[in-house]
Amino acid sequence: MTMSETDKRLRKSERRIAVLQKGYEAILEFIDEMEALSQFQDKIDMPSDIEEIWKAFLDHIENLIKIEVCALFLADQDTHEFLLRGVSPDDKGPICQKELDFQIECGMFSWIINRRQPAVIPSLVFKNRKTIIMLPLSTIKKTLGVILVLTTIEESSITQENVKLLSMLAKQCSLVMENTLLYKDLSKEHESLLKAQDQILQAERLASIGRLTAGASHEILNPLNIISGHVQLLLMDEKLTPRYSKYLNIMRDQSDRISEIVKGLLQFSHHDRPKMEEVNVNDLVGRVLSLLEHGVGYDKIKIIKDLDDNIPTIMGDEKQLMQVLYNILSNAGDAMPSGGRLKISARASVDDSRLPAEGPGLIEIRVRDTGCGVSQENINKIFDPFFSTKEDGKWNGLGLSVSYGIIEEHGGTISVESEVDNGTVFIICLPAGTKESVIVKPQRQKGTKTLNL
Amino acid sequence: MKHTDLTRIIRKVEDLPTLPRTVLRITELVNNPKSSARELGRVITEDQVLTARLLKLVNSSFYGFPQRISTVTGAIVLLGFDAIRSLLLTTSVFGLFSNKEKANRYKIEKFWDHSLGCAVGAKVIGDYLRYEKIEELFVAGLLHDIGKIVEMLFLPKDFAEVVTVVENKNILMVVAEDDILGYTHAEVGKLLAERWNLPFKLKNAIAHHHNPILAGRFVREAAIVQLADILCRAMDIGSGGDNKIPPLDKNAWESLQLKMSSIEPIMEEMEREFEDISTFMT
Repeated sequence: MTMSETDKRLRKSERRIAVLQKGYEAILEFIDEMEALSQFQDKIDMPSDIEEIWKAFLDHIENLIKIEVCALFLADQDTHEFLLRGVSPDDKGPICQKELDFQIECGMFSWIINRRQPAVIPSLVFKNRKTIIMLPLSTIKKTLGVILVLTTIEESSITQENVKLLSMLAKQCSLVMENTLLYKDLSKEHESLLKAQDQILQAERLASIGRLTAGASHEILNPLNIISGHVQLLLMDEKLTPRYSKYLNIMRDQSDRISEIVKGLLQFSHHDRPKMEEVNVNDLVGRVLSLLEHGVGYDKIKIIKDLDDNIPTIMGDEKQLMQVLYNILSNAGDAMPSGGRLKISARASVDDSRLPAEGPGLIEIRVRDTGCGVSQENINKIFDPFFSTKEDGKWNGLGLSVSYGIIEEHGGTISVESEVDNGTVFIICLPAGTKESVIVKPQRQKGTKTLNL
Repeated sequence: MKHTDLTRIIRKVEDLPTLPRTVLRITELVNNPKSSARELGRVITEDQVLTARLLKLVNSSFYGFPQRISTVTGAIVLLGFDAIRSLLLTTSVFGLFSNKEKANRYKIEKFWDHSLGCAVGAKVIGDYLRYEKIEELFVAGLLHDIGKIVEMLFLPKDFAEVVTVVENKNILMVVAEDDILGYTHAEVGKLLAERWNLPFKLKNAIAHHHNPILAGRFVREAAIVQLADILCRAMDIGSGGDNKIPPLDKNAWESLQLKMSSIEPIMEEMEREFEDISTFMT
């Protein structure tokens, strides 16, 4: 081997060692970054809302790459729309939205989302040929959203380290965000289960009251009939003095009153089977309103009707349903003695999870007033027979319990939400007739873009 | 016996054609986290053939990218460094399959089809499993039987012996190799992968594609390649040199958590993509 050859080899080895040394140092630095990343994970493990995770993300990304704008878009899991959830600086929201819309339009966005890998792309909106790093937020199960990072670093100067660290950061974020979102879903579900449990308890209580009153009503009606029969007989006596005749008339009237109350009780304990026929809910609302509008106190109330013109008909007993609406609407009127707003809305929905039995969907009627409201302790008793918050004694406290019985007999549900001084809303859900009759409006809004995930 | 045979291979492997210099330099660059897209791009563009092939591949239907990618740097930042390395490996192994010996031409072509089929299969399965780096799976599929090529070209006597036994007894090549030679194409492939400085993941997928459970933390990758191998044989794409379907490892299958009902759509997708890519790659 000649000297020059040895020299050459030596120099080659030296060069190689230098390359390796550089790589070694870079790897050490990379490990440092990873440690920082794991600290970041500890930090975002604690908070339980998206905003805090986003804040921690912004804090951390500053250490990784020079950023100009950073925006978080999360996908709505139902509509698949990407909605802006956070942006820094604050005023860059609209321009980021525009950038996203452009990227969606040209097909780039869905390509990146489907690839689930970070990608560096030229900006279409920001001037001076800025570079964008798209960080899809996705887990094995689904795509949560995307983080858009606008950096001052030129496209070709971006290093592998930049992309790798950002991708790890995005992955951490995705996992924590998914957990957060799942947790939120779960607690929402939990809440609605608790509410349902509450309703079941109430329904059971009302049912047992119903059984009791049904039995008692018959026991009362029998002797009552005998009493009123005999009163009738006495009244037929021509030799009756006017004084006795007056007493007997009082007795007859009061007997009638007892029998009215008992009839109401019977209705509550569902003894009157509804006569089912096709009913248009909008017509019912209109007719009940026309009955009430001329009543005392109603002139000071502003009535807002939000009725879906295409609402499908339902099967129901017209008279009974009118009675329910009458009860609720007149209660609402009473709750607003010095005026207010009364909003009645009716719409169809395919989601029938609120009905006791599965079916093709439901019609929901909401009656909202701006009256005095019902206190929390009273709201659970609102459907109880003889329960009334009205003091003047001319109410027997059966209106709502009768309504409850009627709706239940129709296979529907009736519920109430109220806040003292803010008003009350009654929600009636009735099963829809057929699947075809339920019209579902398209959910997509005009002008917003959606993406199939 | 096994030991002497392996040293014999290693000696032979010394004579193996290496990967193009560019690919080795790129591996070096990719191993350094500080390398920028520009540096990597410069090395690639020095090799015009490689550049042309790379751009052709990134613009192929394989990637389904909505716009044309016209620069290497653009391709690097868009697809990522790892993906580019995988792509370069993909384009570089062409040379190995191009034949020099007339005698084996037909066989090599069949091998090529089989390898390409497995590559496509691994990619499609990866897609189904939402695997993140499908380029790596593609290369793993493409290279899984590289040991067979090495045997064919550099150990022709051994290979001929194995082929005879495979044909007479109708057994798997890997079984015949183990019986006759004391080593298998998977082991040869592993040696080559080591020599080529291929990433661990790739080396393990090649070494254990007949027994994924041994692939350590790369069980998933090896199992995907094994399944792709089986599907290719079921679909009669190319030939791996034997006529038997290797048994699917039960644990490996379970590790994939793939639904049985996904197999059919996967096969349909494989067929479609194989058509696409084979017109493009030949």
